[in-house]
Amino acid sequence: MTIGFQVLAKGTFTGNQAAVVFTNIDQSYSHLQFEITARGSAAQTRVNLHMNMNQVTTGGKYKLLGTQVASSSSGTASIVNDSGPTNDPAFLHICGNTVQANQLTAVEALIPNYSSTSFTKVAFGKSNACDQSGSGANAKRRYVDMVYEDTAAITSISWNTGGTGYFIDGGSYIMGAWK
Amino acid sequence: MAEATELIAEQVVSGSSTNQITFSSIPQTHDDLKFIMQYMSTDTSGSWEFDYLTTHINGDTTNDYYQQGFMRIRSNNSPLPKMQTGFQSRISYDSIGTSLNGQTNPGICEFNIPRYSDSGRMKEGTARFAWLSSTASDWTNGYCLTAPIAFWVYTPTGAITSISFKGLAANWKAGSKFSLYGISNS
Repeated sequence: MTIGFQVLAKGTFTGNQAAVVFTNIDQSYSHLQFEITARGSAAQTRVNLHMNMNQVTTGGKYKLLGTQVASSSSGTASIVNDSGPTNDPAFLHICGNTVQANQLTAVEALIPNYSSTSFTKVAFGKSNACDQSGSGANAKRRYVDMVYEDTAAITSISWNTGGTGYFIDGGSYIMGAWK
Repeated sequence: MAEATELIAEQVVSGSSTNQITFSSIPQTHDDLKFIMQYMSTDTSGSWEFDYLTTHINGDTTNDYYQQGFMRIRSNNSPLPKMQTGFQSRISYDSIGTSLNGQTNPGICEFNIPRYSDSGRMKEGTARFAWLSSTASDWTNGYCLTAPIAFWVYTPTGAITSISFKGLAANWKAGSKFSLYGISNS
């Protein structure tokens, strides 16, 4: 029996980390999946969460498409259409440090066929940067997909706050892989 | 509740003559099935840079046996997301990147089938799929899309023993990958 999903790396945020970087990613799996619970240190409702494939932030290789709902829009969804392409887009969101205490955001992303050298890479993403106090007009739930227009195999990934503060201690992350 | 996952089978396309990917003789020993897929087609002569991921269950192409719905976001936000209705002869998701006009980006799909071996009820499943073109005009014309929430129904009640995926107009491009996992709850 070949186990389908396995955890390759996991940890908790400590010491004011502004990024978690996975390097030397095992190329013997088929698909990568990330599960992150995090909160940003910035004094705002929502902090952008960036995912840089192979840690690339130049060359205009990223595009985004999806939808999000803001807490101030009474449930009306808006489109996220960042066809740029751009160098380092805000893929998803986590809550900032002004939302209700002890609240973390759940984030999930899936990158099919990450080790391929035939195709560019596309990732599913979703995040729930809500504000349980109910007053956060900038809280957003997001379903967004991202294409990275490069055919190189993905050997490293950086998740980071894009230079806006750091991850509050106590959040956690998992990088898993589907065989 | 613990959950165990097993790789049942994986198919990676080589060459340019594969029109259909079929997973047959699916073992009936798991609770649920999950597919994770990334794919392109070889088509260079169609009208658009995308094509339809066409799914058939148990080789069944009977008209009106399938129904699907999804919240589809187009890159020009038109039309606004809406749920499709109506029965048809397949599950059909417009998520394949073709090779027309030098388009280079693949589509991706996650496809889930709970209780696939149950022989006493219709089958319902969920999916998520996306295609984000490498061609700028596809974005302005609204051809790029993502469907973060998709559902389908297959009305016959027999156990699912085979699933096939094909593009309507062309063959799969080399490097396309289709993975099938079994999920067991214990």
